Amino acid sequence: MNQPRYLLEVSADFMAFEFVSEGRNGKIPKAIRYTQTENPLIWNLGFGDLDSTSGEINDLAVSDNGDSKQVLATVAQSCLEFSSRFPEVLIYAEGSTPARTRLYQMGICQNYVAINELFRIWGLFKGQWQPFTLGKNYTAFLVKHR
Amino acid sequence: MILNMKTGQLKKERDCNIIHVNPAIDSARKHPFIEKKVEQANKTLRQVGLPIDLNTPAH
Repeated sequence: MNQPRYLLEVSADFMAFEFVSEGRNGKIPKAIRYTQTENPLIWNLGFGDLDSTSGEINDLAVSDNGDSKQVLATVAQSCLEFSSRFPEVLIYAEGSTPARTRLYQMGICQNYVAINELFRIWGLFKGQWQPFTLGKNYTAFLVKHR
Repeated sequence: MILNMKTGQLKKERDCNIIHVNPAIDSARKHPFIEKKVEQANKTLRQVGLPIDLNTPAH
């Protein structure tokens, strides 16, 4: 993954990451949170804009900052950092809208060779997990460090 | 890890320029949006299960 990435700041436990997107609409703080699900070995990847006033996260805002590739590469980097520390866990990712999920898929596709070397990836297709393949539209993803 | 003596920040040697630890980031803070996403993940995972047996050691 040699694409440009933003500087990541990470919490001491490596479960929360933050960075600042810089583009045509200015500087937009972003937050990534890895949160345990009911299954202690599966962690949800939550990603969105960070409201610098309230400190709240949402991902419904369309920032349209013209840097989506760099943002996705930065999220992928956080995934690598998190899973390097917790290699036994699976990371679950699903966009808050179908468009967001497609954006995640584009990010995986654009970096597929590098990601596939580092992670096992599954996509959820018609209610079933399948090994990720290019050209298929999935509704959610699971990744695990190899 | 490399400790920056001036700032007290820890940096990984291979990623010095792209990541640094910020103790001010609170991973334990609850965010309604994140909670909702985790609920959605739980719901989906209950319905579809997992693609691998997590109890089986990887080869």
